[in-house]
Amino acid sequence: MSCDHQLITDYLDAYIKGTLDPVLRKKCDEALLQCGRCHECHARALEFCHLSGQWEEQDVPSWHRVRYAVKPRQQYNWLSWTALATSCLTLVLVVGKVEVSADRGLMISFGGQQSEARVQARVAQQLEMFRTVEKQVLETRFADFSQKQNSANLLLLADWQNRNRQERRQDMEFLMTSWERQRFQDRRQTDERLSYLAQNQIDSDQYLNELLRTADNR
Amino acid sequence: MLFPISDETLISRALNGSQQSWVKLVTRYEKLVYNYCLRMTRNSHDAMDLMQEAFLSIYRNLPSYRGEGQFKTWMMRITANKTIDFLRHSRRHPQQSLDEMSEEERQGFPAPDSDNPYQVYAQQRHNLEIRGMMAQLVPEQRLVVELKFFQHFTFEEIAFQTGVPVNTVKSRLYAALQKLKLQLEVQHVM
Repeated sequence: MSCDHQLITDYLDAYIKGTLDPVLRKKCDEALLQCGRCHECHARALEFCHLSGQWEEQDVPSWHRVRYAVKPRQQYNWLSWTALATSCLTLVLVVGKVEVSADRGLMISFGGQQSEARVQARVAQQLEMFRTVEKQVLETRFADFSQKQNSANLLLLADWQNRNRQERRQDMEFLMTSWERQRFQDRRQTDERLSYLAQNQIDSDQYLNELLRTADNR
Repeated sequence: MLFPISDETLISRALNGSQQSWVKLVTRYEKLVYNYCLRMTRNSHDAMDLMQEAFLSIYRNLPSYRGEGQFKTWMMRITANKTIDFLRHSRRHPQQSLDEMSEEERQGFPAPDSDNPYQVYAQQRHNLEIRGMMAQLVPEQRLVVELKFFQHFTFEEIAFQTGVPVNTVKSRLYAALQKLKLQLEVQHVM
């Protein structure tokens, strides 16, 4: 009878332990009787069961029970949690535009408000500086303009006086010329009248002399 | 302590960062795992390395243990996986032939706590015989024999630990016994 060893392969352990039901146990008994390989297998299994019981348990040499397990894990956990926390914090800082400032005490702001406020303050400061500079420039320009205006006024006044003086001089010269011409004409008329009177006197004298001489002659 | 702390309690405390609980858990099972590794590797240095790798892997996988089965079964599954990896790696990078006796084996094991020299010799001899026989098996067969005869797991538990069907486990055990037969016969002749 040929044996495929399947029965002993399946039930050898239970057969040795004695937990097989009677039917299977009888089949196994027959297989062990008829098949040499199965019989030898069973015998070696029994021998090995006996031999395994003779194993003398060896004590474990001293070793570090924690170094190989717990410590690396703790380091790994610490590092990984720290890295994770740092990454999350960085992400929050970047996404939330978180800004920390210690200029006026500790200030933490979100959404870039602090930088915006800083920009506004900077702009206000620049505007104030610009205003101050422009005010100084305007004051300087006003002062220069006022000074120039005064100078121009003085020059205008001097020019006006000069012109006025020239006009009066011209008027005076005209008056003097007219007066002298009139005086000259009056003098000439007077001279003419005096000449005429003198001529008349001369004529009168001559006439009288003539008369006298005529009278004498007579 | 009158009532020993359960594995689940120690695991829970270890997961919360208690090194002391983890050490207690390791101490509870290290002898079992070390002797298992000793039979699987046939070398105490390799056994120590394998045991440390196994416990490291157990610790790292501890959060995934949900207490559905016995911790010992779950732990031995991880140890079995580590053992298979270790043996495959050793087979690809052999540093010592399995047929060769290591220096440790030539000099004998560290003496057990016994004053009787004959008893000490007999115990060492038994262990050497067992490790010698185990070394003749391929890693998969060695693992099945170890789990069956030394750890006394059921075929279903062995299948769970090795990740192969139950019938494959049985076939491996039968083939391993066939192979062991020759070794035992040679020893009996000698």
